[in-house]
Amino acid sequence: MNQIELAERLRRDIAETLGYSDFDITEDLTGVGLDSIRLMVLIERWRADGVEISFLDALAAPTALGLANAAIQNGTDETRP
Amino acid sequence: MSQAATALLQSDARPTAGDQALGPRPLTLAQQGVWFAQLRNPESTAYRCLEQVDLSGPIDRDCFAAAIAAAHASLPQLGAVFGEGGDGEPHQRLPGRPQTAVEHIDLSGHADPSSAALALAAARRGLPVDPATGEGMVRHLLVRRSADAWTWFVQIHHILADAAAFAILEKFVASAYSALAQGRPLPPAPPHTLDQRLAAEADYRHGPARAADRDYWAKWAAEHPMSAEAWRPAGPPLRTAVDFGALEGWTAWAAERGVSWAQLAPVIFADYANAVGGTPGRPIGMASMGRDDPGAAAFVGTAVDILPFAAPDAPDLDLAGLATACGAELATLAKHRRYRSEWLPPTHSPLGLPILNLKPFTQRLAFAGIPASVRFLAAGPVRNLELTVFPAAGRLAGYLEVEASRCDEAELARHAARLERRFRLVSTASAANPGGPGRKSRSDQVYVARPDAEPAQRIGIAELPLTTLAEEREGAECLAGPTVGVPQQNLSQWLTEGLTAEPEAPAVTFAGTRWNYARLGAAVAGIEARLAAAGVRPGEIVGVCVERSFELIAAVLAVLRSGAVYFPLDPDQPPARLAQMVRRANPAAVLTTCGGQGFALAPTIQLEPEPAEARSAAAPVSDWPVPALDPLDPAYVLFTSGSTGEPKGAVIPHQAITNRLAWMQDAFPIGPGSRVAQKTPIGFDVSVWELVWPFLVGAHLIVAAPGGHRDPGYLIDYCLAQQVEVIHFVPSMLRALLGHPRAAALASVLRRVVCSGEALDAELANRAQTAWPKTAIENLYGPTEAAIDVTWWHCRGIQQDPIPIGRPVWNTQLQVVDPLGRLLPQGAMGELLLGGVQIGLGYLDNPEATAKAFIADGRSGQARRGYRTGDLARWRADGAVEYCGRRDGQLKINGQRVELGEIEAALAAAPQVDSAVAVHSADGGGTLVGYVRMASGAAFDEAALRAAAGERIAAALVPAQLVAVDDWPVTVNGKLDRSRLPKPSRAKADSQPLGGARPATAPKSPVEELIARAMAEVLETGALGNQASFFDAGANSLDVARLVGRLHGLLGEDVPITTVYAHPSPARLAAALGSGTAVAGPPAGLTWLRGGPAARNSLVWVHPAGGLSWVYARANPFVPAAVSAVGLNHPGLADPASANLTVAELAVRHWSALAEAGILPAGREAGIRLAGWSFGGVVAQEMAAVHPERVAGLALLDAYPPHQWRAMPPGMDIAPWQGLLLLAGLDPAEIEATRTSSGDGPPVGELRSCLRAAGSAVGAFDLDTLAAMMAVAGAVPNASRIHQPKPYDHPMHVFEAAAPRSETGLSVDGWREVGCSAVIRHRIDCTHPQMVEPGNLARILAALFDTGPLA
Repeated sequence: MNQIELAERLRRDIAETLGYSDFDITEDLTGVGLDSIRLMVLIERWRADGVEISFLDALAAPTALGLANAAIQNGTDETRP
Repeated sequence: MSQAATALLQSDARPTAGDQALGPRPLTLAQQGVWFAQLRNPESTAYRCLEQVDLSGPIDRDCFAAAIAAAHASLPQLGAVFGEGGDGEPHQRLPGRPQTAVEHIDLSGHADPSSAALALAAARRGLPVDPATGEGMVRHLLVRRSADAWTWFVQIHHILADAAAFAILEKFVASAYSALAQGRPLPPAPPHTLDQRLAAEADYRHGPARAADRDYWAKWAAEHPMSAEAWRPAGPPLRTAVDFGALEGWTAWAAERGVSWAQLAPVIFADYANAVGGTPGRPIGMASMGRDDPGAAAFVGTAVDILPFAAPDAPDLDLAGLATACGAELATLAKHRRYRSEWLPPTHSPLGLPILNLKPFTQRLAFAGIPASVRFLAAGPVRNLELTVFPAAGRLAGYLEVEASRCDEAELARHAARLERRFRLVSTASAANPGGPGRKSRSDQVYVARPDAEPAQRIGIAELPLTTLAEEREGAECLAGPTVGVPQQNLSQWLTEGLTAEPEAPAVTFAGTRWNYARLGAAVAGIEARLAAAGVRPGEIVGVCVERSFELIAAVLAVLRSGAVYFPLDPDQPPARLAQMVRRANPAAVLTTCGGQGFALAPTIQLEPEPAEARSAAAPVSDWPVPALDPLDPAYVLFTSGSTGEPKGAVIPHQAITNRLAWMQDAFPIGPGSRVAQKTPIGFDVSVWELVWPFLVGAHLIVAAPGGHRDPGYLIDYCLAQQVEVIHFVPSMLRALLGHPRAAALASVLRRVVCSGEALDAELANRAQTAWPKTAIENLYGPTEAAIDVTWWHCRGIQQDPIPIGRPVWNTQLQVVDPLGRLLPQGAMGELLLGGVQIGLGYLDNPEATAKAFIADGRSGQARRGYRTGDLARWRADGAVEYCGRRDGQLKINGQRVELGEIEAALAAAPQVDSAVAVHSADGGGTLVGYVRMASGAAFDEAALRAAAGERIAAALVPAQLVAVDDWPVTVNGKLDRSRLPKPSRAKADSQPLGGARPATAPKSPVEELIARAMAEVLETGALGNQASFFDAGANSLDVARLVGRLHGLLGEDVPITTVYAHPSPARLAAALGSGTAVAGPPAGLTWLRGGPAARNSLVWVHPAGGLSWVYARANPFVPAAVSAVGLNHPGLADPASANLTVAELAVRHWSALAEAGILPAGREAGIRLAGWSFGGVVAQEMAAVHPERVAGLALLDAYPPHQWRAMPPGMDIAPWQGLLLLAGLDPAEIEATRTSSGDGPPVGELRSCLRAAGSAVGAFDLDTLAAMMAVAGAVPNASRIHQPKPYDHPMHVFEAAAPRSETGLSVDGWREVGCSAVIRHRIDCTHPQMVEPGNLARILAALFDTGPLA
């Protein structure tokens, strides 16, 4: 999975959590209503699935694309089945 | 070090982000909070945040310093310096001098480098910090512990950074270090700038979102009543680490349920804090990142806030359900959390709440491959318990902190251990019962719910304990009374033995007559014979309705000895209530001397004083049969107040009462000859031991006359005459008795005073011990339902409040539990549960009430019963229990339990009443108020309703006041809102509503007026009444800080913030500041307007025409700091004979008044400055002219020399009524314009109304004083015309009102014509009355003190 695909997937997860999907992978997630608690929930789920994103990554680059970049930098094995 | 790093170090580092402009900026909202808090407590180090970054590898010092320099160059906001503008509002500047210094210390030679490093960092944290210069606002300390172990301590003032900012900064420094070390380009700076933050905040503040949020929080506040702690500085904190178990367990738990530990943590923490704190349902504070603006997540600055949050506490949900509900609540909070906590009403300030901080910032940092771990050492002020939770190194870990003054280290450790137990129970629940399959392999499906997961073990919140296991054991040991075998389990048998042991011994004395045991036994036998004749058998209920008398004693003993169930009926109770009890108890017979009214349902046995000849006819007591009884057979049934209005009959078995009496005999031993008082009405359970105990052990009962128990004088005579040794008092009666002048005489007779029925306070106990030094004072506690008393405290030595109710009696166990029935730890307040042999059998014929109060005693595991007392208690470390009040609406009146519901039922029983509510108010020592809603068409007749209620309940329970309401006020949840019931009329005079239809009360002194004005200015509202609460008018904590700042300028003294909270109205605050003397009569010679005589330099204001100088208080903000201001008043205000003083005479009087007040200047340099407006200017000029050596400056405000007035046509002088308005700073022209009639002006009463409506303190004077002012004003034109001014050679500022005016020929030049050589003329574009408006006064004082440019 490349970073765009990963970002799209993260975006879908976020949209599911928010119950709102009208935003793209470059949009600031705080602007679409993602708060720290729900972000923590998502991070836990992603981590359980091997997608390693820290909360601080999300602070530094609060977009789905930024999260995907961080995950890749953090050594996510994006080739996992 | 790389070249890039070297270049960076050598370059003149300049800001690179968008904050280059150097101009002042406001503070962000979060910064304002820190600013005002730090201002209020400038010495505090609590706002110096400190983190520790441990680096495990060799660090290049220069490279590190370059990385720090790069960070500060990118983040100019960290170099901000702070100050206050002329408007008192704080601002910040970014001088573009980044803090780049890194202190480097090598501790590798130290024995314990890590501890030494920490100590060093702590010492650096104590160094001076100055927001005005930036000194110490940011500190970097790099410690080399060994070649491969370094620590970076980063300390930043909280006004510059919060935890998220620290994390972003640390990450940036790590990236910069890596880049510099590896010769790569520097990472991009965190993008969000201070100006972006400020702009986003401004948008929010003035946009619709804030208005919507304000509505949300107003509604939230109404739904969550709270009373927050007032702000005070936070003291030093204590901290302990907590470990909530392996993150893996939490992740598994969360994955099984689709929720997160972050959603559950608020539930677990709030439940614990509220259960242990005795604050069920209270919100906690939730740390909020405050980074909801787009881009703000990456802002390196302070943004954090704490908002109140009500975690769901539905006990029927399991923890997963609670976490889901909590997540929904958190999502709602997230929508409204941009609203700053400072804007919340002070009642809902989260300060002082337990605080939860979910801190997900732990991160793995790497400095060019060197791993680093971060620990925060100080993160801002701490008050109540504050739990910070974060995932770290595979654990869910955190810190528990608390202000050291609230809790010691041992207690903090216990809090931590209990929280760990609670959290770990959850995390291991998953490990112990791992439901569901392992990690899913298909990544695109992991987030959906797993239908195949096995249901995990269901844990509800009630299953989470509040103690540690050790505490549970300790509590069980501490709260168990001695286990003692009591041989007597049958009261009938015990009484038989006691009554027959010593026939000749004295048994009962009543009304001067004494019976011995034989005589008593004969009377008992006689009544038993009549009971037998009536067919009453053991186990059947027999009522006794007899006044205190021999017959009462004999009847009670006869019922109990025969094995029947004693059922007391106090003849002083209303017949309707007795009838209710009889209906419920359905007795086999009622023994009475009262004629039997009201007992139509039961067969009565009429008792008569026994004729002397009948004595021998009674059966010999030696033949008494003793009924065979089971220990659990009922001995007596005693009715207590019931909340539904129906009394409840507590049934007490033999083993319960024999245990209680055996314990008492052991604790308070008496024997033959001991004299015990019987004075308690038989409806009160205390009477049971009085009536029975003496006869078990051959003692002598001294029976008080009917009604005598209420009369202290009678009781003293009775105790003295009968040499009473043991007596019971409800504390309120003990207080009344000790207040009697002859109370001390009892010292020689009373051996023991037993108190129960109400809380015994230390003052009373100590008074009793002082009055009766050899008398033992005992405090007992217990409900009727558990055989009278279950705990005992012996008052040994001086007592302190609260006096404990003591330790459990024999065979009795106590528990303190929270509303969910969980054991509470030592010190925590909760409901007191009782267990053991004294527990009653339940309520007679009332299974519903029985099931509520009598519960299975889970802890003992035996088939015993427990009793829920409904009383709140806590246990101390020494095992003694303290009583903390009732948990429901029940109260005690005269020692008797009373349910408000019973009073309400009695009121509502009247057909003309639709519904009723009773309220017990703590005001004035406790009063009962009844509220009634009348049935439609029925008229409210208070007397008739009280009379009707008096037929159903005892007179003491009939509310002293009844109030009719049209409708019941309800909360948003539809519950009755007792707090909004109208105050009874007696209290109405005390309440002063703000504004609205009723005019606010005007201030009564110049200080009150200043305070009211300052409050109104801070709140940007209209005039505040002098009784209006600053907070009711909408003030928040920041407003308080602003008010204090303003008052400092106005009053010249520091006003402690706590004083504002304690005295929130102008009148109360003025009084608290010692300058609020309300106007009583005419003012004396001078008024201190600002500061006091201690100040060396004084500004002296001379009254205008009306003679009063208060109007000049408006100038206070512009008076230089070290100068005090005093106003001279016309002597004619106090003394009508002085109304016609000439200007020269006035000058003499004024100089004397100043001398008397200690203001006599030593010379011009140290001298006073004189100023006067209108006529005051003329007088000031005269004062200066006669004593030029005393005067350092002179200012005349629109004042002109007499010859110009003499030249004017008649009728141009100020009329007296105009003078009165002018001296209050009002413009007579505006008042006149509103009047239709002209002539002599408005009557004085109307003038006073004008003054009051304008918020002037002058309006507080009585009419006589106002008339005196008008008299002075009337005399002034003449005094002015006949005055001959003297020359004055020193500078003299004359301020001329330049607006067009009706008077002709007035000119500043006139002063030169009378010989004033140094007149400095100022023109101010205003009218004569406007001369004393603040803006103009500012200019005038600037000129007089030569402190600023003139217009």
